Amino acid sequence: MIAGIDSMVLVYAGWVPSKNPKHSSKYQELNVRAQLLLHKLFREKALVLLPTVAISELLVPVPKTEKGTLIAALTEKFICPSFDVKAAAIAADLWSQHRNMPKDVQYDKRHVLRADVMIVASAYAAGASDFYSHDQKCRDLAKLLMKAHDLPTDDPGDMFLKNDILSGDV
Amino acid sequence: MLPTFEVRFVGPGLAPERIPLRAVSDALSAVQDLASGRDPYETPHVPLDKGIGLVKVRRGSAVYSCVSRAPDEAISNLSHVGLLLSSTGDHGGEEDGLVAALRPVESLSDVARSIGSRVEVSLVNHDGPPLFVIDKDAFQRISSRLLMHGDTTVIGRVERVGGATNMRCMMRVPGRRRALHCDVKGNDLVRRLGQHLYEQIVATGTATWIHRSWRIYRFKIRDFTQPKLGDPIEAIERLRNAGLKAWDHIPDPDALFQELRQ
Repeated sequence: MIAGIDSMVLVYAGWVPSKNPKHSSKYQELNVRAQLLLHKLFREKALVLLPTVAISELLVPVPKTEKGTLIAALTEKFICPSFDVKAAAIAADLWSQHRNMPKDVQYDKRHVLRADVMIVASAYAAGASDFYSHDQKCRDLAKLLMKAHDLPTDDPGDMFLKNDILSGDV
Repeated sequence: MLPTFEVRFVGPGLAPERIPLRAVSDALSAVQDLASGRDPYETPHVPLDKGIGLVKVRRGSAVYSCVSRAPDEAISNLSHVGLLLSSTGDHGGEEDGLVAALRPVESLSDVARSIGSRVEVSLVNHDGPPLFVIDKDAFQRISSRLLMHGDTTVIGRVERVGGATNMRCMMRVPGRRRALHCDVKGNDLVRRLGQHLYEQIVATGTATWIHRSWRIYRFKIRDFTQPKLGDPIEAIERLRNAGLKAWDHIPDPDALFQELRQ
């Protein structure tokens, strides 16, 4: 399987509870679900795509001196396709298809749509058959091209994994 | 010009029209290699001064009469090629036909260039114009309507690497029925690819796509990587240590993402 992921997946997966007390419970759950996803993709030997547009989002709070190190680590772990001419053509089609979607699933803000379209199009252009995002609108957009999934809530292949993640045993 | 030798296909019940053109072409190429003494591992092409040619064909041109076992279909297809080649419009339906004809037209353009001539296909005993004519620039003309170029990423499995004349790499690409035969930039890269036979790679390079279908027509590998997620816990730790932990200082990451995308 070739699976694309949204930038948020990695932020959730790397989230540390003690540093974010205000939104702790929300991100604690997302942290577990993002980790479940990475375990699932690892077990299924999936090739994981993280488009360069998503990388730029991940880099925003990272100090200048560490940006290069993080880019190197990301490219070592993930396939990082750029927004090439094929992706540009796919993105243009997605824009027009978005207009025909039901009003309640359309994006309210064009700029949010723009970023999501670029990420989804880059992943699809590079060969992704599946896309993972916790953002419902991003998934609705991705569904126009491929299979789109939310973060898993459990791991059917390993009944102990969720508890192990919660208890910090993995 | 008197013939030097004859190449004969001999066998019981053998009729010339039953022999596939490919067999004739392959046999003549092989005999040409033998006649010229070419070592295929040393000399990529038969030198012009050692090549063989057909004689007893009409002087002033080279005419090869062909017989098809499905004549109506053959004439229809060839006529269609003529229409496609003469069309200058951007009609979608025509593009599909051109895509199918692209490689044969490229081959015929190469033949036309190599012999400094043009290739005509005509109906037998027909006084009208040929069904189509391909000159050395025919492929160039239609490819500018159909092909697009750009840098891209191709994910696939390396199945074959090397080559005597050109450095090539055959990749099996998911979602593509036929293998992708790629050019490779440089011998060092070929050697590196050779160490990853039957492994998945992420190749970066320049692609030529067929417009609309986005099917890759040509791809030249410039470099490749083999990213691996590995153990998720180790991966997360590695990313955090590399700088991802900067997100720890963001109280509400979702809110920042919303802001970033505005």
